[in-house]
Amino acid sequence: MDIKQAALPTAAAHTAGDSAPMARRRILAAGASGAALSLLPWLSDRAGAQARTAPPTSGGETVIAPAPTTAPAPKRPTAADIELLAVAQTIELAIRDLYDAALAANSFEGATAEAVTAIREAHEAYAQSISGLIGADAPGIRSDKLYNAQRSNFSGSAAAVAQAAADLENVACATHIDILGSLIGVDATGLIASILVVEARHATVLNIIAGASTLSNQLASDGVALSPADYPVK
Amino acid sequence: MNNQTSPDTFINAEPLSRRGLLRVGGLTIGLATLAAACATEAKEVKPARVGDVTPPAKLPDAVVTDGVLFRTAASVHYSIIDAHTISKELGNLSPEQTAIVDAYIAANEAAIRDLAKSTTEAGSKPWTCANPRFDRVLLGPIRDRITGRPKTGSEETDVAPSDDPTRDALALAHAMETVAAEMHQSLVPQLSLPKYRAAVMQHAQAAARRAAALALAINPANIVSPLSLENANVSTPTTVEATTTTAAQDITQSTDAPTTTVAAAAPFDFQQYYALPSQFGSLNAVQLGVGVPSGGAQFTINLETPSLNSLVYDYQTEC
Repeated sequence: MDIKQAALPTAAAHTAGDSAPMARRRILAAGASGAALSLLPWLSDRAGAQARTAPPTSGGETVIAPAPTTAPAPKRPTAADIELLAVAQTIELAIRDLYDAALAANSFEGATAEAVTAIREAHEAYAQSISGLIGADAPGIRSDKLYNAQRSNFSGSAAAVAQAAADLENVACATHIDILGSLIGVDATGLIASILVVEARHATVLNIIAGASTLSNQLASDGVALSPADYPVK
Repeated sequence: MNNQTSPDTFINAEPLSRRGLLRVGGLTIGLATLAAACATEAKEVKPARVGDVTPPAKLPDAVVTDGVLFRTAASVHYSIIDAHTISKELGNLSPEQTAIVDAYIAANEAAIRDLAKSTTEAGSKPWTCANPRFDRVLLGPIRDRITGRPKTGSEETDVAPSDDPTRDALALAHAMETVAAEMHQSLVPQLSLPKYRAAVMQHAQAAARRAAALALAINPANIVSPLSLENANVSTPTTVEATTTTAAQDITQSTDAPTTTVAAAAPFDFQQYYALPSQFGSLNAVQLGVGVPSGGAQFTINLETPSLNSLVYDYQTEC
């Protein structure tokens, strides 16, 4: 009998005799391996998370930060903003009605009448846009005080009416700048700013229609702001 | 002596199966991962590397503050002064036109002085020169279209000098004042304090007036843009537009002679500038057409309000 032949029956007997403990050992080994493998993703995540704990670099990033002393401004108008915007709307509607009066009196003709009509429509659009911003809080009426105070200036020669209109546009500009200095809501500031720049253009056009020949007279902007306290919304 | 191996110590008694290998391998990986996760973390201050590499330069933080916005506005006013100077140098302007541009330069200088005060109040250092990006990207090409220059790079032809430098110079001045008004208007929602918003709108309305006056100086008929007239329901604008005449073949004429159709070349429709271009202040790019028309088109460049890539941040300390 050679070595192999002698060994095989012995090994076979050994295997058969230890089958119960070996099965148990195999089950334990398989269980431990499975548990270790199932922990692998979790452990690797942990390890990855530890590796990412270094603070992110901020070099080269653009940070839009408000001034350190102020909180971010709200988008919507505040209660105080709404009061100011309501006053602005009554002023815009009063200006629109004054242009209506001038056009009804045929103070302008031809291309000048077209321009004044376009300016009149712009003021109506401003009032409508304020309504769109403050909704049911919009008064939707003109300032009678302003209208009555200016009504007599909006009839007569084209030059005289244009000069009165230019002065009134400058007053509107000054009023809007005053309002901008108090508004908090960002939406309202954007709207008033977009109205203001065009009313400044209105003033220049009307100055030129009124006959301003020098550049300084064409660019005149000496309007005095209306105080909301003096022109309360009824 | 016996050379037979004891059955208890024979290592090949049970051959290593594939399943056994997988089990042992999985167990090894699992234990290794467990050991790695539980090990203390060693911080490598200087990890090993091959070669000598210069560490990348770290850019400073770019924080947009009120002061940065004021600095940027001042820089754009400096650039506008540069543009007005180009208009004066290259535009062959009349004395009246030169006086207008001089007055506009003075107005922009006054705006810079005021913005310097606001910059200091907002905690930043006033900026004292032109906006580098604005000058490089915009003013350079505009100047080229007025003066002309040899072709460069992949261009096929030389840039021809302007056929009407005065027209282009006035258009440039008008566009610059329009950009100034738009820029200040665009700053309003970005500034944090109401008083700063009111301050910039003073400059916006002044620039808007200058743009309107110049539009009427260029063409007194251009008061209101056609779109605004349409919005105002003005159905029959009296603005006279140039008409084109076409000499066409008369088909009623009977002749044996060969007929030719001659169509007069339509004049180029140059860009128009209006004192009242829109009902509300626009923040769109200002389109400026300059140079001699070629192939039915004119070189047109968009002038936009400053954004993140053209702001003058606090870390920029040198002009």
